[in-house]
Amino acid sequence: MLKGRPCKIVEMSTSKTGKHGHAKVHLVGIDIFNGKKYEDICPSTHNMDVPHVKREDYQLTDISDDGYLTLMADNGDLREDLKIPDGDLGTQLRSDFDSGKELLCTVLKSCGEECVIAVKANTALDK
Amino acid sequence: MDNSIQTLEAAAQMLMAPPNLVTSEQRHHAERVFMELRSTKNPYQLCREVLEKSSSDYVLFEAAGLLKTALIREWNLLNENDISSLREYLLNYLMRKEPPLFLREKLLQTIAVIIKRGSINDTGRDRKALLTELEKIILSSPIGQQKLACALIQAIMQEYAITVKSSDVGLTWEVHIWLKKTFEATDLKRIFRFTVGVLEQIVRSGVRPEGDNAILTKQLLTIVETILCWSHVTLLSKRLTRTLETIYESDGPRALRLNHNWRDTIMKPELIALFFEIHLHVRSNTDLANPSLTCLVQLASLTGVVVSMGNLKQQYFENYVNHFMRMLSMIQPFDREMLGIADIYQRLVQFFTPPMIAASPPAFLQNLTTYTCHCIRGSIIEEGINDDTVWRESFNKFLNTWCSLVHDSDGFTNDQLMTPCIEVFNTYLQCRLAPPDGTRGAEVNDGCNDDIKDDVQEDERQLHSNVLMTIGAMARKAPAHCCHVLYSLLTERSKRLESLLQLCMGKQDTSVGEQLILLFEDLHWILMITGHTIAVDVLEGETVMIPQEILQYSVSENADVGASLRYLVGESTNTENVDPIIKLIAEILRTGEYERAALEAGLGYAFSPELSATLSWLLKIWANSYVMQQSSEYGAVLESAFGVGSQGSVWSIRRLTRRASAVLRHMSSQPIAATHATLLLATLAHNRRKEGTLDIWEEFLSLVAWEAAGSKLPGSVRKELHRAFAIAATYAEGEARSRLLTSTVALTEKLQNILTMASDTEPIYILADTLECFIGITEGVHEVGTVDEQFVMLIAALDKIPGILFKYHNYPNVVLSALNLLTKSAKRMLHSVQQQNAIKFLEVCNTTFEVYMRWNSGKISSIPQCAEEEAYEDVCALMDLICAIASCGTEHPVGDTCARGLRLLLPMITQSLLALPTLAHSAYRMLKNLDHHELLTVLPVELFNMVVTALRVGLTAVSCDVSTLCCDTIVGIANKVRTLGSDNPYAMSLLSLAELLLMLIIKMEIPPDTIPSAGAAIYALTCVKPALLEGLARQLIEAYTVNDPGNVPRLEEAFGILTDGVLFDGMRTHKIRFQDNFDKFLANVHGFLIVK
Repeated sequence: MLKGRPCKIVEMSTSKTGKHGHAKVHLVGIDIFNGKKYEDICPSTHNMDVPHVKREDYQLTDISDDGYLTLMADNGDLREDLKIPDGDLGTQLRSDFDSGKELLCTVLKSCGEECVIAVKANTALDK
Repeated sequence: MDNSIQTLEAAAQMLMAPPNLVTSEQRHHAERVFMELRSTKNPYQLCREVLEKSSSDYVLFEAAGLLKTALIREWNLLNENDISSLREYLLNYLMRKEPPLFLREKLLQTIAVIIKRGSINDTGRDRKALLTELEKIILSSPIGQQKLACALIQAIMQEYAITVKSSDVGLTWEVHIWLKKTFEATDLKRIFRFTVGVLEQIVRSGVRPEGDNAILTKQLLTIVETILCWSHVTLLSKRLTRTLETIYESDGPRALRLNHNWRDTIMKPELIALFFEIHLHVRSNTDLANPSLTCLVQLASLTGVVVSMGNLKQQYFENYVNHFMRMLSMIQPFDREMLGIADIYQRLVQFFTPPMIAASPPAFLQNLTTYTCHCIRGSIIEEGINDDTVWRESFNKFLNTWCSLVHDSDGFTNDQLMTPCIEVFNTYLQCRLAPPDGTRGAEVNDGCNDDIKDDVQEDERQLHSNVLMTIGAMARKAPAHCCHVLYSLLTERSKRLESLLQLCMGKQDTSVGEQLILLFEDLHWILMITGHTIAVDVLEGETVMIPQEILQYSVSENADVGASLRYLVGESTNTENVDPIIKLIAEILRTGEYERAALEAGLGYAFSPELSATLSWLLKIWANSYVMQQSSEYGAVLESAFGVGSQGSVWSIRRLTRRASAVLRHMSSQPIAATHATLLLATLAHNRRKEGTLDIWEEFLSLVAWEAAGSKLPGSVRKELHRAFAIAATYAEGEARSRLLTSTVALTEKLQNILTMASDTEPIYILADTLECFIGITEGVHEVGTVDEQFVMLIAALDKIPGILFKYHNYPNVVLSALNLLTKSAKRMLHSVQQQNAIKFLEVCNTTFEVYMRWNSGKISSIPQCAEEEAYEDVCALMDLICAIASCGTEHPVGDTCARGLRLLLPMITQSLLALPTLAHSAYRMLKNLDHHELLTVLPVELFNMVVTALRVGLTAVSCDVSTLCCDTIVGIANKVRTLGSDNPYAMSLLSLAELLLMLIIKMEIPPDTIPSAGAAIYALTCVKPALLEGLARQLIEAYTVNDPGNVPRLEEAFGILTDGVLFDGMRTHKIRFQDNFDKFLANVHGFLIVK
């Protein structure tokens, strides 16, 4: 967690305050949901909070007119509480879906937030 | 003609115009004009016209380039008179017009090419005549023409000098070599003598060269320098020559190796004297001083047949050293000059025998010492303040010299070396210590104190190890002095450390803090120097003896065993009759104790992690050569203190383990300190191999328990710690061993717990960390005898990997760690475990492949444009895993598992994979490995066909690495399927590659460095089916009959050359003959097919 946001650490370097000083850790993280960059620096003796992150794949069955996705979990449960993601991913998702591809959406869940972060072709259906 | 010059000039203007003034169409048109110009046939008259009339630089440049390429291309069609008239015209043109530099160089190169190609037929007659002409010009013409003549000599030399890198002038390798050799034999020495003669005149004139004269002098010096750095032809294969040339290039100029023809020139005593005079004459001008110094450096490395007789070498050396010393007595070297002097010293010591060196006048050693000390000071100031490294480079060269001097047993005696060594040692130590003992930070420009304020990026102990190793070796030449100095310094500093740390207790006093930092830095250096003096730093796992000089010193002191031991363990503080080495070691151990006490008293925040790391390092290298060693040479004192089973050794091991354990417990968040502590533990685990008593392991076992209870150490440190545990378990016996092994059990339980918990209660990184710890264990397992036992325990964890991959397939770091763990286990253990265990492992791998395939098939088929290689690390890891399994093919039945892996991976090896270089390299290296272990030709045919498809893709790769791997793999497979007959499905599939390969070669669409391997592949394929090459040749010729009938006879002839005298039986002699023919074939075919 950097500045209260769940982040994926993309860069971590330790430096010392002088040759004989103690280590400080410099962290750069990307918010796993909105892609914003956060930085933090703290002594290496400090504890950091680590977010629990869950990734699950859902099969995409429909997209409603107001932009909500209909997703089916492995066990067949349906959910319709997630919106189509912003940006390129959303555009690609929509165009792939419109062209009739079978899609799997990877949903990331952490700190009470959920979001589709990746889309891939569902190969399991081919077999 | 005038018209076309105008067209060209207009086009040139178009090309050079700023982008806003011309349209892209106009630009393309202009480009086309020049493209056409470049392919003009017989353009000589046109070029002359251009050179005479055009005023556009670009057009002139293009014309000169065209002249050269056309000459090379059409050489065989031109008659001798045309060529010589062209050459005369060019020379005349240059003299007349004095064209700008870019044009001059191009034209000079063209003349040089004419000379070189012409000398094939006239055995150098023309070249001789030209040289005579040029010499005349240099001796008597105006300065402008003199410079031109020198430049032409340089250009000619350059054409002959290069071999593997020669611009391709349509000559084969053999002809290049032959031409170079005749040039060396006839003209090189002549040029040398002439040039040296001219330089002598310049020196005798007494006038310092300036302006144009300086330029001319520089040219002359450069010619001489080039000759002295010349690499004479050696009779080696192309490949070997290439390797040698690459090595020499990276290593600076090679030695001056001459044959007997040079004896009359180079052995003249006046010649050496002259070169020193030249340098004295020009040294104030940096431009001239550099080449003149290089000449001196080269002359300091004279070897070869020229000095092989009698005492010629001795005479040469004495003469050289006398003049060298004379020069040194006359000058105060400049910074840059120091580098040359250091180089001369290094080369003299490298190329002349130690007895010769030892017999040199006393000034030799005195000057060396003075200059070394000078450079030490210079280099330490330099470290902190600027990016220039000239002092450090000089210092390193001096150190190399010392390194040879102190290690040569038949050179200088110890007595001769002692005083200089002490001087260098003291100077170095002083520069590293704070005042009053030293001078660190005393000078205004000194960068040392800034250095302390900054963080260090590299590991200090590695950064300085080269220098310190030599300083240590020098210290050992005067052990009494150096050990005593180090002992006194260490005693004083460690006492101060103890008291300062006590002052720190409970209060944050800044003045104490500053004092502490200075003290840490002092101790850091004292410990590093001590380490390199009393022991030798080697790789982990290697054991070395105590250095000879230290042993002799200890023995010669003949101290009292009892008194020494009592002092060591701190029972007595009386230093009388105590062995000096033990005294020093006791002080080191005591410093470690102060550290431990401070850490345990909660002063971790005040102690330097860097110093802790240095201390761990020193204890590590000390333990490695002193503790528990079995040697009759160690003398009574060291033997009884640290020999196998001695009380002293048990005592020290426990002490060191306890200290390392304290560092881990109290400085776990300081990566550098914790890492070095685990390295120390690993070494301690290593060298317990003979004595397995339980009390040695006591501290180890408490660490095991601490880690099992959840140590909160950072992941990387935990991994290293588990490695140390595994090493220990390898060497321990009985109860200790089984208790050490509990660390693996505890880790497996932990893994099980993570897996059974709901996935969102334990963060994922803990799982990845745990897997990394298992990797640490596999890295630590050592001896064949205990592998099985440790492997069985490990299998319990490996067994869970398919399940992990299934559940966590979406977490790349977990997947990667899991696959790496399998790979490491296969690499380190699989080959030496029993069959039934191996089979269990292979089953785990089989399931792993299946699970991986379930989630990742098609992973590579759709690589997005912006793909980053890191995203495919897991695929690389899989490939590594298959390689590792394949390499155990002789011990275990691995074929089936490899085939399963390939079935998974082969569909991924497509064109898009080549966009990811690392991945492509791994993939083809894997195929080559599998071929090497004979696993490809036992695959089912349909899988084998996929391999061939993958190879087909790989051959078209731009990277030389990949295409070479493919060719090598083809050779390997071809050799195996040859016995099966050419109508066998494997052979047929493989042979389908031949046509593609041949076309790629002929069209030069394969990287040049792959050509030799490609030739070998063609040969190997033809061996499978002898009619193959002929068939392909016929196909190709037929294609040409339609499109380009003019080249058909030449093509036929070329194929004739290719198969001339070659039998396709796979025997070595024929293989080599084919390679030779292949080179000729290519030079021939590319000559007329490519230039079009």
